[in-house]
Amino acid sequence: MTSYVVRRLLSVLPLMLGISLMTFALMHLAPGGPTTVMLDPTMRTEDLERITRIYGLDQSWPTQYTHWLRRVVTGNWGRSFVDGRQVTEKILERLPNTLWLMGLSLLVALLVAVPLGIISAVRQYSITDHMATIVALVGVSLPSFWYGLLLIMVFSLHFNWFPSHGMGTYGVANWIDRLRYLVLPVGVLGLGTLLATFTRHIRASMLDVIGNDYVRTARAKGLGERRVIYGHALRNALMPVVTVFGLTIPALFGGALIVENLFAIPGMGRLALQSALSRDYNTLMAINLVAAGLMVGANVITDILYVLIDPRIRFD
Amino acid sequence: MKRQGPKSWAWMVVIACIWSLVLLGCASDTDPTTPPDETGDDPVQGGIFQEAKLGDATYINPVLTAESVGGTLVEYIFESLISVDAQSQVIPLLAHDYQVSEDQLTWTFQLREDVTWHDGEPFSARDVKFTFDSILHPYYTGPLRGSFSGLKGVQELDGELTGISAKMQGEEIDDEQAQALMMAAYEDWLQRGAVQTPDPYTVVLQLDEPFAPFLLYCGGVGILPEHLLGDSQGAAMEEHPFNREPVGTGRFRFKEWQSGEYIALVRNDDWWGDPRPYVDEVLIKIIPDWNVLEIALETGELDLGAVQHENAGRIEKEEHLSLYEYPRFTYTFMGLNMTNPLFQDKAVRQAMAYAIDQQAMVDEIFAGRGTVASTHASPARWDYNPDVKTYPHDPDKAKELLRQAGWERMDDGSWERDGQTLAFTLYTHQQQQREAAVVVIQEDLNRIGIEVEVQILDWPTFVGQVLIGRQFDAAVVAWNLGPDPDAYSIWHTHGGMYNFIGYSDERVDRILEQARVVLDQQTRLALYQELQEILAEEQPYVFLFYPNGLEALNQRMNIVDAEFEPSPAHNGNMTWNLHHWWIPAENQQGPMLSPN
Repeated sequence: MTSYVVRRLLSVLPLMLGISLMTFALMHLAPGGPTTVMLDPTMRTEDLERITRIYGLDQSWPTQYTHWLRRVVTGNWGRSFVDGRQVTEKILERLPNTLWLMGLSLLVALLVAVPLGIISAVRQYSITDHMATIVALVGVSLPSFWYGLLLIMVFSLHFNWFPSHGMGTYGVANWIDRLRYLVLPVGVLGLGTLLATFTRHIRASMLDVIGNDYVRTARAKGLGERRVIYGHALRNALMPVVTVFGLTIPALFGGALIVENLFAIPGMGRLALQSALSRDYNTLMAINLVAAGLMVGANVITDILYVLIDPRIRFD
Repeated sequence: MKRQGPKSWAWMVVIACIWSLVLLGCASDTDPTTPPDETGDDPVQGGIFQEAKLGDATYINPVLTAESVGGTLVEYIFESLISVDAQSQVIPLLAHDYQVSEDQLTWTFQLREDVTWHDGEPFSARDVKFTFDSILHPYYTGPLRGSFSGLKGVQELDGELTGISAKMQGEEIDDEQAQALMMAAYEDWLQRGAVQTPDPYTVVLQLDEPFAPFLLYCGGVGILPEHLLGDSQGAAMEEHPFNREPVGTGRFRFKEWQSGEYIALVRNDDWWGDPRPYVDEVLIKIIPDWNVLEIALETGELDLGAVQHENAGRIEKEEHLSLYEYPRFTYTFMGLNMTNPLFQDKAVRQAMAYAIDQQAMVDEIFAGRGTVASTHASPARWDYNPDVKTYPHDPDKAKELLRQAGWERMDDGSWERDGQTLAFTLYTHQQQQREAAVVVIQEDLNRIGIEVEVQILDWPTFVGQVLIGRQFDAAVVAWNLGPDPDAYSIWHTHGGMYNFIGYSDERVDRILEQARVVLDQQTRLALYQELQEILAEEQPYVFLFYPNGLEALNQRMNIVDAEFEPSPAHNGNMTWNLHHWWIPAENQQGPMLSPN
C-alpha cells in the first residue's frame, strides 16, 4: 500500500511538468500580455516596451518557460505582475477560504445525499423517492449564479437572515459569525449540483445492490432490515459513489469560482479568474499547478478509499 | 460499518437541527435606525463609513497604481501638490502656492510647513523630489512616466534608454552592461537639475518647452515618503511591502487590507486640513458581483456603491437610499480604422452617424441615464462645446449621403462603389453595455444595407489586437478622459498608440500643438472648442454616448454641509470630499436598514 502511494505520487511529477508546459504555452499563445492590461492614458508606446523588457516578457515563450522552470525548481514561484507580491503569498492567503468552502459543501452534500439516496432506493417510487428525484433534477438544472442570486434575494434582502456577501462582520471575529456568512455559499455549492449528483448515484447503486443474492441471504438469515441495508448493502453501494466523488472535485473548483465571485469570498477561483483576465502569468501558472495537484491528490485519495471500502482490492 | 446505522429519519433530524442552529445564530443583530435629523445639527465624529468596489486594489502607491480602486485609496491616504475641485479648477494641497516663470519653463511650488507623515516624520521638499525622480528611474514600472516627459532632459534620457536597450537586443552588450549604462544615464539626468529643492519647503521644476497640462499631470501625483522608500526606486519599489501598508500625509491612515475582502482606513487625527474627517473609519469592501453589491445597498450593509443603469429605477425606490446621477469624463465611441479605404470617405462616416440611433442606445442600455455624444468631449468638463454638429437618427439622410458619394444600392440591398462592398467587422470587448451597443449598431446599419459582422474579445486580446496591433475595421470602446483637455495622444498624427485609428488631420495637429503650450484658459477653451467642432464634422469615430455615473448613498450619512457635488475629475467621484461627511450620533451604531 505504502509503496503504491509513493509510486502514485512519483508518477505525478512528469504529469505536473506536462501540465505546466501546456498551460505556459497556451497562456503565451493567447493574445495580449500582462503589460497590455496596464494601459493608462498618459502611457506611451516606449513606456510599454520598456516595462515589457524589465519583466523579461520580450523573450520567446520557450526561453521564458525555461527561466520559469529553473526558478520554480528552487522554490521561487515569482511575483505577480498585478501587484508585485510573491505568488505563493497570494495563493496561501486564498487557498484556505476555497478549501473551507469546498470541504463544507462536500460535507453538507454528503450528509444530505446519503440518507436521501438510501431512502429513495429502499422506498422506490414512494413519495420521498419522487420528491428526491425532483430535488435532484432541479439541483442539476439550476445554474448556480442564478440560484445563488435567488438565495441572496430571499434570505438576505427579503428576510434579512443572512449577510449577502463577505467572510465575516468587520471587527467581529468568532466562528458563529463566520458560519453565518458561509450558510448561503455552502447552500449554493453543496445543495445544488453536488447534492443532486450524489443522491442519484447512491440511489442507483443501492437499487443495484439491493437486488443481489447476498442481500436476500442476509434477509433470509433473519437480519433486521436496518442491518441489511446499512451493514450489507450500503457498503457495497458506496463503491461507485467514491468514483463519482473523485470526479466531482474538478467540477467543484468550477462551482467554487462562481460562488466565490457571487458571495465576494476571496478564494482561489476568483484569483484564477482575475489572473486570467489580467494575464498575470506567474500567478496563473501557480494556481493551475495547485489545482492540478489537488485533483491528482483527490484521485489518489479515491484509490485509497477503494481499498478501505472493498477489501478485495489490493494495490501492489 | 458493522455497527448499527441510525435510522434514516434520525439523520434528517440531525441535519434539521444543525440547520436551525445555524439559522438561530443568524438572527439580525443590527437595529433599524432613525433617519437623520433634517434640522442640520453640528457635525459629530464617529461611525464607520462603508463603501464597495467591484475589484480589489493592486498597489496603494500613487506612482504605481493603474486602476481606479487603488486611485481612490491614494486620494484618501496620500496628497499631491495641488488638486482640483468638482469643476476641475486647481485648488492647493501640499503646495500652498505656486508660480510659473514668464517663459513658462520654470514652475516653483511653495510647500506647507505643517505637514507630517502618518508615522510622525515631517514632510519636506525632499519627498517631492524623491517621488518625481522615482518616476524617471530606468526601471520604473508604473504608468506615470509619460506625464513627466515635459521635464527638462527627459526626452533625451528616454532616447538614451531606448538606444541602450536596442544595443542589448542586438546583443552588442549584455544585461549587466546595459543596466550600468542605464543607471549612468539616469545619474546624468539627475545632475541636470530638472527637479530642485533650494530649501526644505520649495520645489522648482524645469521644463524643456512650455506644456499646459504639466500642472495637473505633475501636481496631481501623490507624494511618497522618502524616509521609507529611499532605497527602493525602480523595479524594487513594486516589491516593497509599503504598497500594502502605505504611509501618506492624507486625511486617512491605512489600517488593514484583507485581499479581495476589504481595506480599512482610520481618521488621521493629525491631519493639517480643516475639517478633519468626521467618520472614525472607512471600510472599502470588495464585492465583485454588481447585482450582489446592489442588494447589499438595499439591505443596508453598505453606505455607498455604484449602481447599474438598468437597476437604478429599483434602487431609487428604496426609502433609505439616495441615488446620485452625474456626468463623467467618459464617452463611448465606434473607432474607425483610417487605413481602411471605406472609412477614408467622410460620407460613409457621417452616414453611419445618422444611421445609428444613439438616443435609442441611451434609452435602452442606460435607461435614459446618459447623453448622446457627437464629438470628443465631456459635458462635465470646462472645455465642453454644446454647439457642435449633431447627428439625429435619420436613415434616409444616411442613404442619401451614400448615394451622393457615389455608392450604389445593389439588388440584395448592399452598397457598392468601384467593386467595393460597404461591409466591415466590428470589434468590442466583454463589457455588458458595449456588447449591447454593438448589437444596436449592427441592426441599425443592416437596416440601411451596411453589412456588419461582430466580434467580441476579452480585454487583453482586444488591447493586443485592436489598440496595439491595429488589426481591425471598427471597434467600440470608451475613453476615460482626465481633468486636463489635452488630447494630443488620441488625435495627433504622432500621438502614439492611443491614436489607434491612425487619424491624421493638419488642422487638428495644429490645434493640439498650440493648445498644449498656452496656459491661458480662455485661449485653450477656444482652441479645444474648435477641435470639438472639427471632430464632430469629421466623425473619425462615430461618437455614441456619455453614460452618467450612478451611485447610491445610505441616508444615514449626512452630506448636507459638505457643499456636496460629485467630481468626475477624482477617482472617488462621490467621496472626493469625504472628510466633510458625517454620521449623526443616532445612526452610528450600524448601517440603516430598509423599513420593510
